[in-house]
Amino acid sequence: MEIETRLQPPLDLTIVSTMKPEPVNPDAIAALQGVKHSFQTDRNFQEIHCSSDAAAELQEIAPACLRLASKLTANAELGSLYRMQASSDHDHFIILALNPEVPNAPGPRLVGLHTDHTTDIDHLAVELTSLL
Amino acid sequence: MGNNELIQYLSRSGNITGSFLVSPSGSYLAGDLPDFFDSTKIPVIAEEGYTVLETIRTKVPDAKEIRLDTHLLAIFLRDLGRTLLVVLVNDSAKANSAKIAIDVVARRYLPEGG
Repeated sequence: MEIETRLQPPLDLTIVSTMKPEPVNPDAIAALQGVKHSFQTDRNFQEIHCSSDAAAELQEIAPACLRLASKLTANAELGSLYRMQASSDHDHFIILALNPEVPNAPGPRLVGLHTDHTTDIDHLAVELTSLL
Repeated sequence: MGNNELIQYLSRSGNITGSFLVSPSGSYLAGDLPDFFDSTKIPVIAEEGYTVLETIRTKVPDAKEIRLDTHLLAIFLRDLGRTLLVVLVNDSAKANSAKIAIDVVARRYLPEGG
């Protein structure tokens, strides 16, 4: 059966998922162009995979960042957040919500990536989704 | 480049749905806002935008821009030092072009190069 996947809003982040997703292949994520570090959590920010101490540092602030950013877009009536990205002159830090579009599926996963600043994040997001 | 000049440049770029500049205290400084946008939300966006930036900077100290993608828009929040630039893009396919325009105005707005 073909499983359709796409980026989706993280729905209500307070909902408790009963199934912990399997990690997307960490080696495949590490092989994506520009990726330095990565982490994966379930929707409750429980760790599924963390590639390094640097990734763990970013994972630590992911819940606060997503909650604050979700609050901003909701309060401003600008829509439901499904992805956020912070950029400096040297790096990108991106958090994506990846939801399998199948009934009773585990997830969604949250994937955090630390990449170099030349990375095309839109292209990276498409490649990442294709790994599911 | 002044506040109004910056907004006019972005409005002419063709890839940007709307933009505005706001002070750290939430005061509206200049903008070109789309009809759907509720301008009473500007102080909230400023306050919460700076809060998100500060949270990210606890681990990424030199972060200067946030991009938020929703099912409606791509929203860029760019710290320009004394102001926060907020840019709305209603077609995510145009977000990379919008980002280039934001980098251009940031370099012109900030003497040290944005």
